Amino acid sequence: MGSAPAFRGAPGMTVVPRLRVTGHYAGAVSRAAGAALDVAIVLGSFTAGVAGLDLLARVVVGASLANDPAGPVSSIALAIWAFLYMYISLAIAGRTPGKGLVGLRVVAADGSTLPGRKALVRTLAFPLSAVIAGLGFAGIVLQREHRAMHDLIAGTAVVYDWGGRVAELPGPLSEFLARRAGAEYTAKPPRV
Amino acid sequence: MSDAQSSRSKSRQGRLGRLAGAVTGRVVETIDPDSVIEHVDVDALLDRVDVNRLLDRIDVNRLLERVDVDRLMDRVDVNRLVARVDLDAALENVDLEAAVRRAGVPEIVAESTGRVAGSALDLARRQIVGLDVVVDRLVNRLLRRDPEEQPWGPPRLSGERPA
Repeated sequence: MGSAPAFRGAPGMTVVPRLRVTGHYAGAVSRAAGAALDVAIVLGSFTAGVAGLDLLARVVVGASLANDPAGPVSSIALAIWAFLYMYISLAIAGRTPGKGLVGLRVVAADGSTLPGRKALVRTLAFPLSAVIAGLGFAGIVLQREHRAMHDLIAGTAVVYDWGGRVAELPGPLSEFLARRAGAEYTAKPPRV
Repeated sequence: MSDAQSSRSKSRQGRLGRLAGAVTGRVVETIDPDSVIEHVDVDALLDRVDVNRLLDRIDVNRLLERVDVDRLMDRVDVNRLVARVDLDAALENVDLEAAVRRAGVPEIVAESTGRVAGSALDLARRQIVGLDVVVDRLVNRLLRRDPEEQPWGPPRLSGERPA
C-alpha cells in the first residue's frame, strides 16, 4: 500500500499520513457498492423511461403500455438498456456512473486504458459471472487481484481512481496499518 | 470749456477731495458695519457675480496644496456624517448583482460548494476503501495467504511500493 511521506507535527508527535491507494486493485466492498449503485441507476432510469413512454403512448395513440402482456418484452428492453448503459459508460469513461461515484475505474489487466473491445467483452461476459449462484463474482473476494470471472475473460481489472484527487485510506486505519507494519514505518525518512 | 472754467472745476474737486479724505475716516469709524450689511441685498449682490468667471480664475491645485487634509479630517465627525447618509437610498442606485458578478462571487461559491461536495464524497469513499482493506485482511488470514505477496495493482499502475 502506498503512502504519503510521514512527517512530524507537534513536538514529540509523529503524524502518520493517510495511505494512498490510487491504482490499487479495488476490494469487494467497493465493487459491491458500485454495482448496487449501478443497479439502482439502471432500474430507476428504466422505470422513469417506461413511465414517460407510457404517458406519451396514452396521449398520442390512446393506448397504455401497461395493458400489453409485455413481460418478456420489458425484460429484453431492460437487458438492452443495461447493456447499453454498461458498455457505453465503460467504452467512453472506463467506468459506469456507479463506479465513478464510489471512485473505481476499469482498466486493462496491465493497467492501461480500457480499449473499446475489452469493454464490449466485459459487458457481454458480465452475466456469466451471475450464473450458478453468482460464483463468478467470488473471485472479487477470493482472488488476489480481486478479479471476477468477467474480468478474467475480458482481461480487465478494477482499480481505485478518484479522478483528480488521491484515493486514500481513512486516517485511523492508516495509523493502525502503520503500527502493524512496525516502528520503522515512521522512522523512515520522507519519500519524495 | 474755457481755461478759467477748467481751473475753477479742478480747484473745486481738489477741495472736495481733501474734505472727503478728512471726513471719510471719521465716518467709517462712526458707522456700525452691521447696520450697513443689513441694508445690503446679498442675493441681489450674488446675482451680479459671475461665479463661473470667478472659478475660472481660481487655481484649484494651488488651493489644494494649501489645505491641510489631515487637520481637516480630524475636524470631520465621520460618525455624524455616516448617520446622515441614507444608505438604503444610495444602495437603490447600485447594481449589486453586477458588482457581485464582477467580483467573481458566483465562481467562488460554485468552487467552494464543489469542494465541500467532493470532500464529503471522498469521506464516504475512504470508509468503503477501509472496509475493503478489513475484508481483504480477513480473507488473507482465512486463506493463510501472505499479504506481502499480494500485488497492489496492475503493473503499469502499481509503481508505488509499500513504505
